[in-house]
Amino acid sequence: MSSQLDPTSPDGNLLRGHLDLILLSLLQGEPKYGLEISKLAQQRTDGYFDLRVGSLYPALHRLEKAGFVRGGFQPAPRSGSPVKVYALTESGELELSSRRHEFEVFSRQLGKLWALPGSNV
Amino acid sequence: MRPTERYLQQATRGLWGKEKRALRTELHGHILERIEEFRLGGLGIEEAERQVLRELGAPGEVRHGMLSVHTLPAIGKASMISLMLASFLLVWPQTSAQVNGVYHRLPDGGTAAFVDLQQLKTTLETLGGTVDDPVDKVTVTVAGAPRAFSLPIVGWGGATLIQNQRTYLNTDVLLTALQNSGVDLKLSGWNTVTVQAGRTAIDIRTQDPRVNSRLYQSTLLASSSALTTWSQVPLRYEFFNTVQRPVDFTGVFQKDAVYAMIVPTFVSWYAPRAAGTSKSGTVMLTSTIHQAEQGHIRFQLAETRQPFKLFPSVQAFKAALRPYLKENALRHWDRRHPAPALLLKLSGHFGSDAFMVVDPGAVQGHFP
Repeated sequence: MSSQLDPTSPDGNLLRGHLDLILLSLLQGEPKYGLEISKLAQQRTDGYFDLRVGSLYPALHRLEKAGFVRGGFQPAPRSGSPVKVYALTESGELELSSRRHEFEVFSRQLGKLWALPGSNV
Repeated sequence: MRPTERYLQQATRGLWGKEKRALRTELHGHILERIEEFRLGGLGIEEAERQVLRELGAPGEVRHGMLSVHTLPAIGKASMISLMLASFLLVWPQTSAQVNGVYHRLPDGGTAAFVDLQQLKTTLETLGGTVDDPVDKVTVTVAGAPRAFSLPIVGWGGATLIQNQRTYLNTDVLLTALQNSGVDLKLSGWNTVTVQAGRTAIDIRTQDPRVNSRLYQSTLLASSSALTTWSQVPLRYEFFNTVQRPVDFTGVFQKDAVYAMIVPTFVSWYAPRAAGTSKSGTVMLTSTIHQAEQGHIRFQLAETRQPFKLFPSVQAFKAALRPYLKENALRHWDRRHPAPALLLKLSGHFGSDAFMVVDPGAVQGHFP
């Protein structure tokens, strides 16, 4: 008997729909470069978020263009080659706070639809 | 031109000025840093570069994403040609091509599977497809493919093989080129592995099970699943030159289905430090793949004699392996601490459904 595929990978559309929120969340604290962001997403979610290069970098550039993050080049720790390090701007922190609140409200309201009529869940 | 350079050119095509330069530098930094990590894991420079570029995926994905950020969306001439080509190719009927497969050692010490290029060329041409002579790139087209894609092979050690005056094409090159053409790709069978690329079937005949194993392993590497990308633990090809031991399983094995066993191995090295050298290392995943009989399968494992324990999900496997991943935390697997392992049933499809984990409770291992 076989079990289903690892259920810990989100649907592609679900991931794309929340990519900005995921990246803004990951960029809290110390500035980070693309590879570091990708690894951190995997490590902190046990592999649930697998951010592919094809979507990661365009999203980072989009956030930078919107003014939510700022980027600058620094030497990478192992190779010494320049990598672009991203940090949240003040506007990005406000955006994260706003999106996070929006997501929490949405999730809470959706949860109400799963409760059976008459139950207290 | 090296594969990395090709990747960067393709990923930044269509961008201009400082955006192009910045993205190029950024991606280059990502690639070089990741190559260093794989090299620390024991891979040679060429293999590390290949692994990184495989991990990055098609450069077109980055390019399309970037163009949507930095330029206005537009349907260019190339897109129109692709659409016309796709429409034209759709009229070709489904047929199959047969080619011979061989297994061979690469110049860098690794091994690879190859297919007879002339046979591939002749038969594909009769099916409305093409494969050009590999010089610095290889372009493979098949009926129904959304686009023609040229895969750069300069610096790809062992992209081709010349043996007995015949030229062979590395199956990794063939499958990567087909994948990048946007066609749906699926393997089936074992004694003759059929590569179903859209509506074209290419039958690879071989007497060497290592060719079949290598082909199926490509589906794991291309699945972009949590298995191969998790925690940056690379999945490498099995070592066929080492002494092997058979491991038999009985249980819910389906006749003719293909299964993989994933086991971790320690790779250690001595790193120079200010005060002498220190031993360091990492964990790599190794796969061994075979076809099952009804209720039975036999894998060949490298002669490590490490005891192992099967886990029911990738998640549980990861959790069990996690303590061994810390740098400098070299340990040994023994009877009290068996190596975590996975038994997978392979679908042959290049996609997120490449495998299902076999329930350990439904199988029994028999070890000599």
